[in-house]
Amino acid sequence: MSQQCAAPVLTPAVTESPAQARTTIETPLQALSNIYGGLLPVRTDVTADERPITWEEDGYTVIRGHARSAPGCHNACGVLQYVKDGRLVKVEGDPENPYNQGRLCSRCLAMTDVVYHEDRLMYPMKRAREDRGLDRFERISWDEAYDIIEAEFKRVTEAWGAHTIMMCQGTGRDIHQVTRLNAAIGSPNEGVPYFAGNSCYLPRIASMACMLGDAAVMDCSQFLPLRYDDPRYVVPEFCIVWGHNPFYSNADGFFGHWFTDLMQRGMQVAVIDPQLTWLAARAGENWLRVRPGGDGALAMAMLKIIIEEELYDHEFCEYWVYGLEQVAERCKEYDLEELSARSWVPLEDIRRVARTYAASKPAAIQWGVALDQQTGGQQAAHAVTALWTITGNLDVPGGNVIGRPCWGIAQPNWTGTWGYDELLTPAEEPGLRMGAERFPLFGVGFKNLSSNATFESWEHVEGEDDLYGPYQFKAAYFVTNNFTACMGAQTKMQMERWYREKLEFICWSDLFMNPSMFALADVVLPVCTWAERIGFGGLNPYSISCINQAIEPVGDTKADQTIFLELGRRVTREGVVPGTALADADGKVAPKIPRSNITRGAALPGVDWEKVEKLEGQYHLDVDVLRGVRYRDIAFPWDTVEEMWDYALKQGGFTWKELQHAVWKMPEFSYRKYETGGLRDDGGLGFATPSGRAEIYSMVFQHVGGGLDPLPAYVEPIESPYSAPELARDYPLILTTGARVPHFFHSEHRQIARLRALHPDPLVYIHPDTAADYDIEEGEWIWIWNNHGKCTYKTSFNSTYDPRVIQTEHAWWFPERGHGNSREDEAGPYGVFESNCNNLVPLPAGVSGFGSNYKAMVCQIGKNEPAVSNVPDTPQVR
Amino acid sequence: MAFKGFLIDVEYCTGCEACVLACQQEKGYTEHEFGLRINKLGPLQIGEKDYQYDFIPQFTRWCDLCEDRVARGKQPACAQHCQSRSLEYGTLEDLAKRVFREKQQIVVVKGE
Repeated sequence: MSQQCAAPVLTPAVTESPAQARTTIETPLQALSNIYGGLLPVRTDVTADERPITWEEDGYTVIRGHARSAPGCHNACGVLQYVKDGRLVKVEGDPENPYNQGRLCSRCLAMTDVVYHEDRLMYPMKRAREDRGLDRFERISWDEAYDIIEAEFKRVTEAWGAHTIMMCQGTGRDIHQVTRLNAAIGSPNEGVPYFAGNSCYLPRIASMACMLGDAAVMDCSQFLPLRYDDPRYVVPEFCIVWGHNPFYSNADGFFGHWFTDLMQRGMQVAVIDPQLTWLAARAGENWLRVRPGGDGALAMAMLKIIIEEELYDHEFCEYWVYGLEQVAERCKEYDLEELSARSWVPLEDIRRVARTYAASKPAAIQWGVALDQQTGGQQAAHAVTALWTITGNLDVPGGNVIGRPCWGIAQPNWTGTWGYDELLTPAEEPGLRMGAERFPLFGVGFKNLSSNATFESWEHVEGEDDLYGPYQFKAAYFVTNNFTACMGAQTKMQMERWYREKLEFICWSDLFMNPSMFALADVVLPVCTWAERIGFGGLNPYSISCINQAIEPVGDTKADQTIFLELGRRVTREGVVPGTALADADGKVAPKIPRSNITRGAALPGVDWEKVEKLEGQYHLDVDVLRGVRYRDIAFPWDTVEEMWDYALKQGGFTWKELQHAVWKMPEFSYRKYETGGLRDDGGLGFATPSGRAEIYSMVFQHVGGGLDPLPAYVEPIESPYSAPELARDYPLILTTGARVPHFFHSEHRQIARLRALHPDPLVYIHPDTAADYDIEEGEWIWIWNNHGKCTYKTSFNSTYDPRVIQTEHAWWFPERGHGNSREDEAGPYGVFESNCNNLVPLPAGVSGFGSNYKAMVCQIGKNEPAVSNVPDTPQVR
Repeated sequence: MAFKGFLIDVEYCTGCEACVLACQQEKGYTEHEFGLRINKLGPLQIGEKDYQYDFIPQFTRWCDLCEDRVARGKQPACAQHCQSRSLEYGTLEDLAKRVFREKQQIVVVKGE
């Protein structure tokens, strides 16, 4: 173990959220199944729309489809793939596709550079565990790779239990069928165990699910095939863009330039951001330059103004909202001047934006990951959700509208946890899921593993308080991730102290050798891009979009989904699905009754006929309860990936081939679903919440307890100038991170020459007056450090920042430098630990287990030599 | 003489540089060649709460206005992919008629 890795701090120093008394109300969590999707009845009324899917044009064969991942993207833009002699020559936007309407961003337009890059992984490799971090990979066949993985999973399962095998992801999309793989081996553990506070979208999703029973998104007409021309659509008069740079970040299922479309149609904007983004410059006086981490104070101030000035929609609140009085009481506890002082936004500006928002009909709020990346993010999201709810902007045209998985098809996607219901028992899920007990919100429906519970488990010493450390992970399958560059807080410590030392086996799939894979992988699996495979994008609630293969996989690569299917057939556990076989009193399979004596539907020990019939219907089985349904009968029963997709699409009433010929399919959308019974399983009016209303006082939070607050609140981040003033004396500046660059998707694309040329270096944006205080010049490389770690960035002056705030980009590594001797080099493989702002991120999350300070750290800065020079062990404190 | 070029809506160019990559892909250019590039202006503080922060496309002599594409009835690659719809191709006369407010610029790339 490295001597440099001090034991990490895992417990928050400060928590301001009031502990809430637990009650005994039994709360149906329909909310969560709405977001995760459920098995809805099979549709038979879908018409088969057909579009041309391939044609000859100017000497090319054009293949029409959608972009997805790999390489990573959160959108599903329509593309035309131009192929000549079996080679992808160019990718253009599909002008008829309602999602992107012919447009593409720079990353898709550089797609051929990704597909044919000389650094792409071309064949599987292996390396001995003791050689992790060393240049000792050896080429192997797919069969050998699968043999090793199968043997290692089996060994770990026998020694430690299947639940100690975790499946880890990055933020790539359309790889989430991996949940079926971990469920098939018997493990409920899938997620992002290195990502403190699961700090991306989940805090916001959690708030919305518990309050509204659903998730809502700004309505840019994306649900309607005719888009802005649809007569049902209304352009928002006003939109608040909160912690979000839509044009460069392209958040989940949100094409950023829908914003310019709307502005060209008259929408006005306010922008809440420490950075003067291009959009903020257009907001003028309505750019609120919030303190990083002060978003909760700003949200509570706006909520207080709208309630106390009675600017809310009285009729909507009376009929459809629960908790207005309690929220009003909560708001009384806060003082506007103090909230304004904490947010660093003048009160008159807060008042103006709050009043304008409340007076505009319709008005929308579009938010970004900044809200998730602070200790109080979940509570701030609660306040923001309350804003659009009480102003009557919920589920109306041009407001924030409720979206559901198209035709209920959510299983093979991010939140779907495909396979959990069929392949895991309650004792396993949530029984053995990491963190389900530690953080109650993870136990009631959010089926990811908890990162912070994982952190605690790594440091758990047997014999100590056993509450939080029931077991440690022993093996991992990383599906396309580079956590040392992106996501991992105090990432060098995590890599060296936890992942390298404690995991007995690690396999890894990706397009390129990345620093994390180089540091840790025992088996490497090369995957192919979306142009080389079939599939469908179904995460967004607007449409199901076909991924249509244009070329053969390059080299000896395979699609992620092909790997899941092939590997799944090997590693699925033995045994019989509980409830499908006759059992004796001990629960063991005991076929003592003669077959002729078994009558369908009769009460038999161990047989759950409802379950038997459900599985029969789903998988076309004829279940014999003497034999039972084996996990192997249902985990991966398909011969081809296309058959797997036919199964996944079944709820829509169409096959993958039919989807391919339609290219995309959009379900009929309706607004104001709470007025028509469209949101509740019982068909009643209202929302899918316990009260049937939009709950700005959340009964679910009240019921779950565990310190969760049923009311919106302002929670000051830990280690801030207000929660830790002594610390802030040593580290007087605030560091916010993640300034977006349009040419990179998180840690990807750094090796693509045409993209990298447009943005060669990792930048820190700093006010020139602040730089002058430290004798720092523009373009100079500086050190940034705090009590957790340090990093180095090149300065870019920008006098629109608050002089107390600096902002870095994230997810940098340097493919051009090579892996180096990474065990010895403090900068790590490909220099990944060098310009890495995550070195400074504290590990603790908010009380819910969600939200860590990726965007609100204290720091100090100082001059240093260029990044390529020797890196000092300890930063020189000025 | 017939002048051809682009109407650029400087108010809406977000600096995403999709146009640069669309051009490079269409023409097979390396990272050192481009039919246009994007220059940044600002952010400038014009008044107390009034900022200017613009991106402005500038065309090079590598640009041939995608004559091949236009002949096939398509838009030049940069204009089709412009995510903010702030690049319009046409003749000077056409483009001049489409100007409807400030911060719109016409760039003539070719005269023949």
